[in-house]
Amino acid sequence: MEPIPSPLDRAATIPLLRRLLAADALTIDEAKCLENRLRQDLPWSLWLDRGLLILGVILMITGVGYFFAHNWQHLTENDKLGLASGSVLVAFIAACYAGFDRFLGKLLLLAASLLVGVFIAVFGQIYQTGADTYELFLAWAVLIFPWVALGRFVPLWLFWLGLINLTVGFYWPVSHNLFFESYESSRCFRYETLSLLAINLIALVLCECAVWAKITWVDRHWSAWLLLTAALISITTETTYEIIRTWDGSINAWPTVYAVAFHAILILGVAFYFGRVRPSLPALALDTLSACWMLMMLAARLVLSGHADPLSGQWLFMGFLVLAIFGGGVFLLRAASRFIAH
Amino acid sequence: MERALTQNHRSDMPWYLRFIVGFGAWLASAFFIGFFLVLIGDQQNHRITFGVSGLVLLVLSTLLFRQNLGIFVSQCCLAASLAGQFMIYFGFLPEQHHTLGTAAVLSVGLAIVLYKLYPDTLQRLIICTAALQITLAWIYLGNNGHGFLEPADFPWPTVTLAVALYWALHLIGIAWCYLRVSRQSALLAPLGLALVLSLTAWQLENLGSIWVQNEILPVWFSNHATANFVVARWPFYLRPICTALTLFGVIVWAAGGIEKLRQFPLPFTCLAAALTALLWLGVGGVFLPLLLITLGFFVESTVMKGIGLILLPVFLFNYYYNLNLDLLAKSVTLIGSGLALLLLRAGLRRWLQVDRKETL
Repeated sequence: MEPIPSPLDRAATIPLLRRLLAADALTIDEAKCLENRLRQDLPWSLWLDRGLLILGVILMITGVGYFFAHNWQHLTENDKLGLASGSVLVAFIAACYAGFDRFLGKLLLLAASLLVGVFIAVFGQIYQTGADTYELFLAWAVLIFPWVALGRFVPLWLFWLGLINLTVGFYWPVSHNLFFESYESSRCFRYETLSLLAINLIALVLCECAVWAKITWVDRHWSAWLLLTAALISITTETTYEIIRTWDGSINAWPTVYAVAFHAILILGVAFYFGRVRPSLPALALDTLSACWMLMMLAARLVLSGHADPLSGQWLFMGFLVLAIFGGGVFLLRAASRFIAH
Repeated sequence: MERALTQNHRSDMPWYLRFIVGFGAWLASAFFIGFFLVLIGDQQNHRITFGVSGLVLLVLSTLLFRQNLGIFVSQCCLAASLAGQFMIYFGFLPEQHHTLGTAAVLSVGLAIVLYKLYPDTLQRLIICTAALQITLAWIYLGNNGHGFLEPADFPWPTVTLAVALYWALHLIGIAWCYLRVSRQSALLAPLGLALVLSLTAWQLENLGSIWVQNEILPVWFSNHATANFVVARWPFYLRPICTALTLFGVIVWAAGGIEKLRQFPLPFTCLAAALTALLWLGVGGVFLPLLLITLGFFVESTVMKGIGLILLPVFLFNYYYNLNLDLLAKSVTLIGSGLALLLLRAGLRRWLQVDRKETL
């Protein structure tokens, strides 16, 4: 981690000048003069230019959308499909023309991928296929996969992964077991969260393998954090759910034990990898937050459950426990940040 | 100067660590407050006790915060302070008569006292915003939620005028906090932001109800031979007029003051004409987001800019959605508005000499 720069090396801003004025480090006249100079250098004409452009384009596109909405009922089915598929084709051809190596080309490929979803929606509206929601997202993901592979664009990959997550999320509630009965809700929820965990964890592992293989276009810290967040949210949700299910002690607690154990192993694994192998303080912070939450839920389960009206002392004890848990987490994080810095 | 820049002890901790610290502190405080609630028992029968406990909690948290024991303790103190204030409101507000009036007085009193005694930005922001919004609720709803009774023969709509005056006070307060350069500027920044948040919340509240009904919806495209423009009664234009004047004043200030106005009268005249035209067309609600974006840009306040940038599309969506036109007419209106903005941009680019390399 880079050393913290001197505060005197920071760029001057108006709020900073006002803080200095409040601390008597500047006189009022000096502050006014510096503020006026800063204000003159602000790129207001660029902001105005871009603001008018963006707002004007958005209004016109919305107007075009309203125009099609007005005429939608008068369009034939071939016209509707033609418009939807035509927009996909135009975006893809424009992407090819711009070149997949250029940022504009990649953006156009992303736009084409989004428009494929519009095409599928129009197709589904016209032909009333009766497909389940997860099938639509699956079809979308399958159709755009070649472009995702060609594009070598991290946001496009993350969008595709988002479609896979949605597919899995919508699949389990309508899925059936071998005997053609729906899963009970608790099992359905468990399978759903574990599936999402598996998908995002595999994606994270593949992403890190690509980074180690020196595939440069993949090396984005924020994409790893996003994947880690998705994975940790899944496992944290599952663990929390299992703990709450056993709150009154009437249900078999073994799934909770397994969930907590697996969660702990995952946390330790992430801590080792992002602490020693590929240091990243934000990733460690996410890991710590998940660990603290799990420990707090466990503590609440042990201290507060089993009582119809918790005693005041239990609330006080929980307060101190939470202080200790989060305090310990922050202490470990600060130690890790010093280790990473050195 | 270096000491002044590093006075804030949190400057060496990344924001996500501060978030974890704050999150844990608030959770712990929730359990401590739960401890108090269980200890006191049935709050309905012990409201005064509840209120006094809240006062004690507030005093203790203020004293502890002033010891400057670190970010974790300061977040615990903030949570306890807010809980104490809530307990004070619950304990001391009358149940039946003058509830809102008392709440308004109490909130303003707490804001004044704690602004000085509890020097934390977030605390100041929360108490000021609460005081402003509670006072607004009192103006709209009266003491017991039934509105103020106006004398039958009184010619002016009192509540409307009071609301307009309160809106103008907000704008004056924002100008006072941000446009003046003084030693109190940093101290007043939370109050300025609270005024911004209060105005934004007010605008959002109105967008769903009275404000759209009374200040927007001119009939532009109608089935009659001549256009039929709805002219709202004059008191309801006070708020957008005040906002337009403030926006104009901020732009003049940002440009360099009255001297620049005298030096370049034509652009400012055109600006005034444009603002008047928007007011006449009934789009006065756009002035507030434009004011926030402009002021936020020129005082380099990312939060204010962000609020303005979020409020602008919310207003535009609400405005166009509630236009009493069919889809085709709305389509033409939208495309026409977009074209007008693009033409304005094209015209301004020549005058502003914007570098082509810098644009999209």
